[in-house]
Amino acid sequence: MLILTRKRNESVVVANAIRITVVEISPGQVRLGFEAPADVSIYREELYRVIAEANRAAVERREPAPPAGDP
Amino acid sequence: MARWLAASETDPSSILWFEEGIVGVPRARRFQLLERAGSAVRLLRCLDIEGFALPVVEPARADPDYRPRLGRRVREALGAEGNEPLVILVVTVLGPEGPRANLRAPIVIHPRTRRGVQVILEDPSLPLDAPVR
Repeated sequence: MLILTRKRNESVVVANAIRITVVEISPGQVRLGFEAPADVSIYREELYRVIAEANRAAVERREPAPPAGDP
Repeated sequence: MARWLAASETDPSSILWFEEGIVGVPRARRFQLLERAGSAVRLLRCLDIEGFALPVVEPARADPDYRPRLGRRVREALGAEGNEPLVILVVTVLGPEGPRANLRAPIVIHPRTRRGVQVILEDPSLPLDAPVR
């Protein structure tokens, strides 16, 4: 993992397109601001994991899908 | 069991493109929506991963008043212009007590651009397991 030190109002730029700014620092917590293209989604990781797990359950419990090539 | 039906496998217009993939499965990007007579459950079948398919239903079957706030970024990502209508479907788990729909993370599809995205909504009151009628 790349680790960078930033102060309040300082940013990092990712992939020429995404800027992440430290908006506020308080004990035990930081607030981050994100500027990114519309097709880049940004979520809290714990929520992302819950949805990913829900998707996995939906795939596993469905009835068998037709094989690829069967229209 | 009735057959799943879709437009021809080779018809590019029947393929839906999910730029970011599905939540948790970023490489699942090309999909077809399959349906069959007599069933409200449709199947969003991935063309990139063998055997990967999500059952989906129209959200009204779980909540007739479902009106998710999608925001400008989602419409932009799908290439929607003005007030072009979008199709919303919800992922459904087929459990022993019947199907249950995830209203927190709908699948949004633009019928004209054939682009799709799974959106995670901020509203924590939306259930992940709403009974489907």
